[in-house]
Amino acid sequence: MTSSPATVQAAGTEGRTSLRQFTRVLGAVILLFVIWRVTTVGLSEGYPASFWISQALNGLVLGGVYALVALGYTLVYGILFMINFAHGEVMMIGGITGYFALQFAQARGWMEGPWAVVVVALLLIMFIGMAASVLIGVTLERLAYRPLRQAPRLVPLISAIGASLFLQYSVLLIFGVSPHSYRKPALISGGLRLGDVFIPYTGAIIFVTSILLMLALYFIIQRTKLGRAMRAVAEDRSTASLMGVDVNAVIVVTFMLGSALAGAAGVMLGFHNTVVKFNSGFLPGLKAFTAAVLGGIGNIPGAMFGALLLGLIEAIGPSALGIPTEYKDVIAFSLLVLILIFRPTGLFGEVLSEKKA
Amino acid sequence: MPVESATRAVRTGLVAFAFLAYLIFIGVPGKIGGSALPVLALISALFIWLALRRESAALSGTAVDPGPGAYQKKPGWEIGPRDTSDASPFVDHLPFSVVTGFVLKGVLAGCTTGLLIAVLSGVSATAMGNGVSIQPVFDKIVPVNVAALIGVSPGQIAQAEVPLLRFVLQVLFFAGAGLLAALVAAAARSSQSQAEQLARLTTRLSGPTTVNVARYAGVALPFLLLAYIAWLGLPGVSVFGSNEGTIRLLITLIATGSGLFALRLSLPGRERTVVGVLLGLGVLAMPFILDQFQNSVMGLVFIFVMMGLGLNIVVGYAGLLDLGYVAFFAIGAYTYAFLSAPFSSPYVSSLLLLLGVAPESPLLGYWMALPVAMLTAAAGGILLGIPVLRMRGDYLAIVTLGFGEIIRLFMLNLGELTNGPRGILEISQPALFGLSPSSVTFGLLSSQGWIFLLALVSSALVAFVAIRLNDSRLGRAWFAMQEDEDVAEATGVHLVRTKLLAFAIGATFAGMAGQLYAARQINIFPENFSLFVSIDALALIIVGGIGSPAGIVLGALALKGLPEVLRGVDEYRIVTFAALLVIMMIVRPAGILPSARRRIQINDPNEMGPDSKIVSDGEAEVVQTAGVAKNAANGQEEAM
Amino acid sequence: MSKKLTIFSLFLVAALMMAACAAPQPAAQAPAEEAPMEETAADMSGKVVIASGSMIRIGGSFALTGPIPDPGLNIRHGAELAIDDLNAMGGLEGFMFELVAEDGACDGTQGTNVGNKFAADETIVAVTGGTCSGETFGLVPILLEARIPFVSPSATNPDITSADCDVCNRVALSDALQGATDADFVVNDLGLTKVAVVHDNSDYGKGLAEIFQSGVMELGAKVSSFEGVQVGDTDFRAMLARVGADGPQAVFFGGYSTEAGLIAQQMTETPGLEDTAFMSVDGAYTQQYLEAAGDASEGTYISFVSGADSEEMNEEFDAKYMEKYGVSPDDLGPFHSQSYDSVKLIAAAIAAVASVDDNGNLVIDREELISAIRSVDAFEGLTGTIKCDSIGECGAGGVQIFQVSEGDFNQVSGFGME
Repeated sequence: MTSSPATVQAAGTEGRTSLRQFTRVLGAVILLFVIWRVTTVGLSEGYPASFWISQALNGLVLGGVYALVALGYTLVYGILFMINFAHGEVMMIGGITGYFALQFAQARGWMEGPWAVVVVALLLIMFIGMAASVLIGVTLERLAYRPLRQAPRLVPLISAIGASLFLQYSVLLIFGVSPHSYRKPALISGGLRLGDVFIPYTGAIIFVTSILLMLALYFIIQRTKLGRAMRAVAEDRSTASLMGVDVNAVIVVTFMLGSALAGAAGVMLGFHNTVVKFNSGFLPGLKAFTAAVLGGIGNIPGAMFGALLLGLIEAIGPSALGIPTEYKDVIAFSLLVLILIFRPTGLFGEVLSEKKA
Repeated sequence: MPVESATRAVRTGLVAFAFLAYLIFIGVPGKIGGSALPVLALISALFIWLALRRESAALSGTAVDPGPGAYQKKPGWEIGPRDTSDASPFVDHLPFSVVTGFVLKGVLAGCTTGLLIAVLSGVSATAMGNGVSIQPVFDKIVPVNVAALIGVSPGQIAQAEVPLLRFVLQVLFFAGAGLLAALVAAAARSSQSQAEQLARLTTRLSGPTTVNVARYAGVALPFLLLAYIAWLGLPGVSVFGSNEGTIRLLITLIATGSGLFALRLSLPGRERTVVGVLLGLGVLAMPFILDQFQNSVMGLVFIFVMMGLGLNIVVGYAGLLDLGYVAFFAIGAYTYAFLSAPFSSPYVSSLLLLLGVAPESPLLGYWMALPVAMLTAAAGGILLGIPVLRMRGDYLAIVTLGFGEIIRLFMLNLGELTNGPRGILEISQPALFGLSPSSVTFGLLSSQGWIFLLALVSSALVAFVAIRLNDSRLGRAWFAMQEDEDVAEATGVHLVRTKLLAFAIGATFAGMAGQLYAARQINIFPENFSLFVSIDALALIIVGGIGSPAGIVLGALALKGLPEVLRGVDEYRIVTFAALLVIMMIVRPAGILPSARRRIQINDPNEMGPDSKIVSDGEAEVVQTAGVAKNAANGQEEAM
Repeated sequence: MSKKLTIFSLFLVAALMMAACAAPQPAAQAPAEEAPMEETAADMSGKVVIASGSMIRIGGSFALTGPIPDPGLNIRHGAELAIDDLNAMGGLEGFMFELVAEDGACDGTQGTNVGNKFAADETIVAVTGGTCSGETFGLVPILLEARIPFVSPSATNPDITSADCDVCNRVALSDALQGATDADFVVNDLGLTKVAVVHDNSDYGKGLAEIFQSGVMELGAKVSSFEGVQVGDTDFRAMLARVGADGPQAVFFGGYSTEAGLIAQQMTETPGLEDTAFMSVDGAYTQQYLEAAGDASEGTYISFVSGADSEEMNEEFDAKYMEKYGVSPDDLGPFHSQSYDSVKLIAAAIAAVASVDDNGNLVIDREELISAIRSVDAFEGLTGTIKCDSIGECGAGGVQIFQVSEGDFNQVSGFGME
């Protein structure tokens, strides 16, 4: 947000300086309020340390899921400058498919077999979920987004909203309205008990897997030829195509990567929270999008960090501030608003939006 | 290359099957009942015909005139192969075998679809007959559905008594559909060149007359429809049985929409004024002749017109993408609810006692509450506006979205203030000089009709203000800001003030709409103000044509009115709506009635990237469909 | 462009001015034409006239989508079976009954829309529904204004019936009874002194949770925390960790199946709540709850408002249900018998006031129908002998408390056990 200083008129400068002062004062006031609230109310409740640790762990797990989904938003945004509003539904499709794969595996008794069989079956289930998500993601790109690549920015957004509703209600009509319950195999139900802290196995798996997947993605983008092509397209689509990059292919691959991560998140969330239904992708999708923006949309480390931060705040926030837990979403969105007031391009910032926004 | 053509035909069949399978899985055959099989076959015929037509166009070397809304050159939309430049050269050498080739292809495609459908229905039927239940997985695969698909009774499915002949019949049905499609495509092709010449001749001979007739018909249409609606409302008239209410609603929607087109078709000057005044009178008479249900739907439509006009100021004029617009709608609604419903929160009443006012209900009538609601909403707009002043584009979108959610969650959770999920009930109705509207009009105006009338008048007022604003200095400042903030600032636009004004004015309109909505609903709940209201409002201005008030009315009619007409097919309502939204965006990205400014923007060569021909393609269509109007108006640009 | 806009604005101004001055004009013109309609309307106001050959239309608001679709469908089936039975017995004076089913979606907004639709339809005689309390709150003021009486099979919030609302009736039992019984069970039967209360921020769940809370406190036990969640949430760990930090002996949840099941399940993963008792309410008395909770459902308590079943009538009903829909009614959820009774009750009241006029039309006076429902006395329904009181409480039966063992509900206390 830089402006040519020589030509800026007095009124504009004045408005902008007073605005900056205003945001500073506002920030100080809010910071003081939060500190006061945390010290006087949050800590006075006298929760033990183990409580805070469990809440932090809950937050990290939540953050891991958000991160996987947020990466899909960020990847697509970085390259196409469009909000793939249906990304949460791509994740839900993964979860639903995973449920049926699990049913299939359970009907064959694979889930009661030796641990190696169970692990292989679980990996297979996750892979099937990811594959379904990839299929849906690529189809979406082909049918709903590609024809609109040159349209004004709002048009693909509306198309994406339409696609999101279409996917949700198709799943409702095909698989019914009632939730599908994952039945965890014995191997991953229960958890680790460390004193007063309990770590569910599924939570630990989510966190570790999401970190691994994120590292893999980072490697792909930074170290491979494909990643270089992606970065080139993100930088400047037309120049990249002149340099011999197949733009369409890169975009499809981007959607595939994002959808695969979302599918993995969907299946793991299914195992963790044990319920999927037609609209169970919507809220996580919204939160993940929030997380992506928090970190600076289009910025991959930003999305990961933003998601973990959002998860942590959501879990710890209500207790620390001493307010009821039903305000966790309020806290999440307020955090977003606050951070963007002070850093209008997200925590990590990004250079890409400047030219399009 | 027969192998290649065959592959292509099979692919067409596969696509058709994929679509039909979707319909089967969501339970459409069961809903249709006995005639499900022919209907599905016809749908597949449509698919095959589309594919063959494309091929025939490629064969003849010149494109068949696709007409408005065609999918030509739209990557991602075409069915079948994309690149048809090397299509079957052998056909060119043997022109007489074209028909045969088409028929073979069509039948092959039909057989593919039919075989797959037969397999699908056969597997489901066998499973059900043997007690394997598919239904818990695929909710709609129930005996009724499969039976309708095969053409037997549900009992036979349960007893596994489906003769093999039935499946053969299915394949034959679809093969027949393919044959039909092929014949139609071939016939169209052979008559194409002659028809073209004939058509050209006819146009040349009767050009002006036809255009004039079409124009007068267009102008007269809304009046005819209005008269028809009035006739339908007369006592003793009963035409469509139990569907009458719905049909009348549909005609009302069409009449209102076609009125806008009639206004554009009429020549500028006296004719347009007369048509406009007459139409205005006709629309104003509607609240008196419609029944309670139709009035309530139309009221909602025009409440959303107000929303759309307000949001249009923020998004369309000032270019600030606001996904939390519902917040101001909610503020307006809840403000009015606080002032007029029996529920009184302890906070509000103690505040009133502090001010020395007795907290009795209703505190203020509709008209007294109106400025309060508008001011509160405007204050909300400024409150949101200040922190987001430095944000742009999608950051703004997500922050406003968050703001909308925060407001909703507060309403849900602040039980003492808002009565939480229980909502605020029995909000009082707007009065007319202290009397109930139905008593003033001798019972002609029902309570919902009165709301509709209010919504009509308010949205006309809002539209007037919005149009005037757009033409004002402020409007140009918004436009400049939308184009480039930095440049706008450099040329002396006070960004802070301009942005805040956009938010405040947009919010004021939403507050008005919210108040009327509260009065219409009688009860309001936090769920009334979910994200989907923002999305609806945004979708309707984009579908209608961003920046154009007439387009917004059309968008509201299509997006808020039509779903109510479709209420009979409830479960399929949202799926259909969502699919239409996507298709609409692909076929007409600029909206139904785009504003002139918007069209320039879409056509702006500076905003195009490498594959820019898509845009110019879309643009061509926009111009093309406006063709009739253009002729009539002597090539003038529509500016509504 | 601006010229066009001017013209358009001129049109709008014209329209506005018309609005100001033309309003009396149509009013003055219209009576001449529409006088006959006015007259018939006056004749019909307060009466439903059903031409011979037409149906007696009863509206139904069911929660077919929203948080509890299965019970909603179940309730709809119950109503449809009642209509079938009524018609099989020849209807009323040769007039057949018809159910006009609408989706109330278990929320107030949709309830309001459905109410408006029924109010606009002059042929709707009475309404059965809504399924949820919030939905019914949406129906109440609209039906009250339209003078259409309704009987809800399953809306249990105490505030639904009141002395002010003469069209409001229900065959379900009020939550006031259930909440108090649950509190009594937790404090006196289980002997617990410190409980946590959680609700799902719905009309129904929150209302019940509040009643339970005050009940528990009256009995001298302590409520350690009162927390809310949202319908549709799936991760309750953060909330439960907080509840667990206070070390309650039991967690009470007011809400629907899925959330109840997930809370029961996630409690086993929360330090401090592993062995805490869990209790939920009739919204969770479903198969869905058992499925969502999995093994964690073992030993949890669910209360349910049950009718006094007459064995043979219920068996007959179950058989018909099974035959028509291919599932057992209990698989989908509770309240199907209440729904059946609700429609039968309406039909009985209609039969009491309807008369056939000279033209062979069936005439039903709305005001008479409203009071006829209130004066129903000793109506034999599936849920027992139904008697309506002066505020519209027609429920029969009492509160039962079940404990889950081996994946099934087993009654441990309450109505029918003594």
